[in-house]
Amino acid sequence: MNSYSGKRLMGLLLTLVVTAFSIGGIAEQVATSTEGMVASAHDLASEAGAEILAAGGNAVDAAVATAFAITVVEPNASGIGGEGYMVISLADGRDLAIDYRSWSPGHVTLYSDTSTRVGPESTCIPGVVAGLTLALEEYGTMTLAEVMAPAIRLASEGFPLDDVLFSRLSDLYGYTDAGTDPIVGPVYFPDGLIPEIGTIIVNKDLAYALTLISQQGPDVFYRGEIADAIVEAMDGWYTSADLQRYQAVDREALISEYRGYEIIGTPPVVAGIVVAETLNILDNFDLSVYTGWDDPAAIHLIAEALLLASADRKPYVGDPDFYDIPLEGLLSEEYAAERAALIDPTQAMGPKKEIPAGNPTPYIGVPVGVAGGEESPSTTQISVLDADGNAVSITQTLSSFWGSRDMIPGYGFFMNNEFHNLNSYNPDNPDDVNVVGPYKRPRTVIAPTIVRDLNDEVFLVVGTPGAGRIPSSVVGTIINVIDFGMTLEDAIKAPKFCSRVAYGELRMEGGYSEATIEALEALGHTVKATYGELDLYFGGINAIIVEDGVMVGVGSFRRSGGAAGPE
Amino acid sequence: MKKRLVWILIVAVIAFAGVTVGQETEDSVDPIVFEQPVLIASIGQSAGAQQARILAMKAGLDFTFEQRPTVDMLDGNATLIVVLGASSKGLGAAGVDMDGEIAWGIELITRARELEMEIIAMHIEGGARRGPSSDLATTTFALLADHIVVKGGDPEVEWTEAEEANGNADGLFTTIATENEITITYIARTLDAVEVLQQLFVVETSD
Repeated sequence: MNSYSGKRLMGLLLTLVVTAFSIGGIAEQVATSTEGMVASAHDLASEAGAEILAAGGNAVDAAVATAFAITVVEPNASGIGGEGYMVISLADGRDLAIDYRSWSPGHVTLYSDTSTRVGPESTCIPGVVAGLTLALEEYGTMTLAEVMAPAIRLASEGFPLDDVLFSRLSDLYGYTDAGTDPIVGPVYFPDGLIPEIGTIIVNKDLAYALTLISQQGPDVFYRGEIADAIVEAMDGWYTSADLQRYQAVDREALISEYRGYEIIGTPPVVAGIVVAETLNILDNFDLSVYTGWDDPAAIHLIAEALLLASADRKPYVGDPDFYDIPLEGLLSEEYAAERAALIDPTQAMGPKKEIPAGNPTPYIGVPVGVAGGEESPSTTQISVLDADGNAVSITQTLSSFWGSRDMIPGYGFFMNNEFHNLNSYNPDNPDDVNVVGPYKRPRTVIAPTIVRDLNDEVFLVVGTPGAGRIPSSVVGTIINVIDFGMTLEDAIKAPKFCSRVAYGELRMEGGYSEATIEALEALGHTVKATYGELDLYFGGINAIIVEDGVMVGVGSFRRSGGAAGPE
Repeated sequence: MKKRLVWILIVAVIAFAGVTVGQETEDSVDPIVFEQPVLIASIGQSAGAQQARILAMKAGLDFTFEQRPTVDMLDGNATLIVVLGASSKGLGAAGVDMDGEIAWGIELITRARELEMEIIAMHIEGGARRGPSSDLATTTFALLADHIVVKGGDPEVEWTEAEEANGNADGLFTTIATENEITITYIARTLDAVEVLQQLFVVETSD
């Protein structure tokens, strides 16, 4: 009997109690509470987390509940066939991270082609089940059955289709030959058509898979009947041994400082380092003297700092289980000062795609390589804070919406398509730290983040989907709050921009003034400002801030998120 | 810009031709009976056309579905159904932009008129498929049809479905139908189009 089976009966009983008597709040775009808060990409997922908080669970319990629930109600963006990264800040002062990024299968070689975006050969070994169960086991207080109960309920009883998922289902309908796919069709297109908005979406197969996991723990996913189904559906791309080998990993969180605030982020192979280095560079400038988010002089400084940090990502950031990463150097104040000195307040650096990486080795002396790389385009963000001050920030993904587009028959979930985020071998770039190989984690740009204030208390829990725009949207939100003194709602609503070497231009969301865009062009920036206001291209921040002891949760304005706390 | 002007002129000519053929408005006594076989095509490459294929199947029509047919594929058909709705993903998959799609749509409809085919314009994805590109397809092509089917509300009747499902909330399709004397059918749910197609094509059902 495994450790989960022992808790099973008690868990089921408690589940009934939780379901019957707990009072989670009704999710709103902006919610307040003193008892805890959950912000996610869907009202019902946030309510699932709030329900767990109301039943006495801590932030980790609620985060795991929300993360499982979001796989049901936002199945296009994350799922148990996907992966993620979690940052945890515990009230006892411990800050940590759980890496449940996916791994490439064991049979791939340095010469494997990574260009495929759909089908089994685009997938990596999924990490969500291992990561969430590890977090719960180590830092939670409730049983798996308890925290998974809301997700199972949503999958088995259904939830009303909203306009956001309707649009994503319209995409899926096209991918699956008008919904006639014999596996996907019966789940999402039962009468052969895209369901009407308001239709109750039931996924009995996923409810079954989640129930198995809640009863048997992660073993059923990596060693049991779900593993068998994955291996069969992936048609030789994985072996049973690949799935059995997978492990989520406890890692040290990436800690940096900005204006005295402690920034707790993700270590490599994701983009916490970009957020931290950008803020370190900006610590050399006083942004509070500028008028705010629309001030071109401030935008210029932030954009240049993001550019320099993104230039450092490719040569130095690879899977930490395979490469030494010069984190100490990249995060040092001296290195940040050296990078900041490259910024001319009167002239943009350029061309942006040719901005060279810096050399952090003098600050620690770790050998480095040179690389190229891609990122995950579509993800979801969960932010949780409980009344005791425990906080969790999670970013989960399938990579593209609907991942590889392969639904596991009988279990109702999609596989990720993360494999393309590894680079095919390029003889001109032999030291690529993101090159394909067996059991490697692809490099991506997710950056769940927690900020502690000057009193060492959790102040902000933040993160976003949005691919290459993730670091800039996280940095922009933090600066809006800390430097410009904005409320979280206004900080999130304020237009966002993205500056990174991969783009070669400064991409700006609708809402900036003409004068600002002209001023940035006068500074030498090539500006692309063709995006709409509150454009989901710039992410979907779901965040929580603490203001005078009150937790304010804000669900994404760009992707119909919601926040809820216990009543 | 020049290309757009040329299209507008072409559209105006086709529209005029359509009107002179003599269309019936909703108030007229004789509803049009459309003939089979039918070719179903997409203008804008959204998922609507694929849904129309399922609807036609359910309605029992004798039809061919081609997401983006060549003009030669019109031969042998009596009616062309164009399903309007722009999808950037769909256009990308087809390797075209909206300007190219409009140009191709005009070519298709021009040829259909030369073959004396009748044309039905369908917009069946509701408010979620409204926006600048979709509206460009609608304002360019709906007025060239002999009949319009829209998932959306008659402005005179209260809309009881989800707000986002109303593809005619601003009355765009009603205005086009009225101004161009085109008959129009409003449906509340996509599946309702099955019955509409059976009526338009006078398909006998077993009920």
